[in-house]
Amino acid sequence: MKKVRKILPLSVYDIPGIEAWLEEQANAGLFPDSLDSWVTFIPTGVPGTRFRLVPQESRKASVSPEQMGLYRNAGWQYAFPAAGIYFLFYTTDPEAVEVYSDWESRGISLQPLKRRLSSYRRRKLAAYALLAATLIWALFFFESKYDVQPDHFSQLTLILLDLFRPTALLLLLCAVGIGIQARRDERLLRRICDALTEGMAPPPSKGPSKAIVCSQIILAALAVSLAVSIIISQFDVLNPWDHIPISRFFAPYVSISSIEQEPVLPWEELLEEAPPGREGENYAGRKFSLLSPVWYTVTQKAYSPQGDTEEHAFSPKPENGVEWYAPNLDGTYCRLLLPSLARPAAQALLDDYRLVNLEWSYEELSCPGLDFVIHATEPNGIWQMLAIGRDCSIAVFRYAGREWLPDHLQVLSATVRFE
Amino acid sequence: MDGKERRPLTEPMFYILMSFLKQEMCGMEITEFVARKTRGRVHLGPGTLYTLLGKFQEEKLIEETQMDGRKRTYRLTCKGREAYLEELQRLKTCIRDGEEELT
Repeated sequence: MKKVRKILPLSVYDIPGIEAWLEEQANAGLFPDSLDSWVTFIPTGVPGTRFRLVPQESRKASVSPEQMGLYRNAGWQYAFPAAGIYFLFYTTDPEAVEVYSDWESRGISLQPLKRRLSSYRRRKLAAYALLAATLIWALFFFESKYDVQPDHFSQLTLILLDLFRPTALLLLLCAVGIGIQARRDERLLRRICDALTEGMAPPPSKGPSKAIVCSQIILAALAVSLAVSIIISQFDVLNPWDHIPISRFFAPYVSISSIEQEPVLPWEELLEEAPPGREGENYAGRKFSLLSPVWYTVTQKAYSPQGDTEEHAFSPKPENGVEWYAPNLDGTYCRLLLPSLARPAAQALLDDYRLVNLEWSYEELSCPGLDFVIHATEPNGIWQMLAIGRDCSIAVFRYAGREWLPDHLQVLSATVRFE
Repeated sequence: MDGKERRPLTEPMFYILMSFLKQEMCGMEITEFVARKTRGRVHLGPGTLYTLLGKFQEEKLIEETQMDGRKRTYRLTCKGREAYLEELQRLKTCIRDGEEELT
């Protein structure tokens, strides 16, 4: 039998409205088969059918034999549980007595639903509070035993940028949409309950609304987009903006070979096949935030074609007794929307790049044409970090190699001077 | 007003409690009793009856005495009788006050 699906154009708590709408559909020859935010109909509707939504006493409640008997004797048939909160009854008998013969009893029947909604709201608030508390603890109070220089608030600007990323914005929009809908529904149920309990007719329904249908469609689209966005962000293979081979990446970045005095090459130019585990050494990744429309990272590792016999810290693994000089350079490049975010964002990225088990020293340098230059070193002299900024553009680097980064400021700052 | 103070009974509530005064009753019998007693003026809908039976049980105004398949039988408790008498007295007072004003 062909089924017709329609979006419920009313609030799920607009009981008089839903009943009237179902009766309209029955007059058009459609009988409901299931009812939730979507309603399925089969073409067996009988004009003049009356529908009544009877609130369930609890989520797992079913129609009791006594209830079924009473309704049947009064000429009402049970259809199905609707929206997880009602039982739907119907009758084609115009003489059948109304399910609720007074407003007060209908109001009383809605009390469990009102209590359930309040309890759900309280549990939801408690869950949000717990989640927020956990996040705040993890972000600002968690201390790793390996972190020798913890700075709990250094990441605030990165968190701000992350909050304006598409997934976070979608999540926020979904939460706001669901919150607005829940608030509207709760108010409506309270108004209906209050009127009925006082022995008055429920407030008249505004009837089917295009705005409700549109909001349902928008919410569904947002939820699907959010799910896709989360799946993509969780699986690198699906993410077209992550692990982009450098050969296919065209945004401006500092090439590691441009700061090395001795020639260095990526493994692709030295070897025919990727050594195990080195295939993904040179790659780029793009991010997007409304506060930083341009945001990408480039990770590079290069090898000197000349092997050293002398042991040093920059060789990943001596091969056949030969130490290969292999520096690496990670860079993050951002063009921020607000110039005031440039310095704190650069400091946050420095902290993000920081190897937590090392004690870092930070030094402010001056360079004509740049707003700030922060150079960070660690006592072993292996790792360095550098953050530079000009207007809205920043570039932050983490480097392990023989070069002294401040000596290459001209090259490193090219990426923030290109505007 | 004390939040726990009972509000005046509605007409269906009053007649349902009345139906238990002389005997135990099941849902169908209550519907028939109310229709007979009010000469068809009050028709108890199945939703109203089921909801009020549940509420009265919760408030311990009635109690279940027997369950036979779909048929559940209830009887009035002392608390239920008190509630009925209280409402009856309230109605009597209302009528007396109303009639006094007419004379």
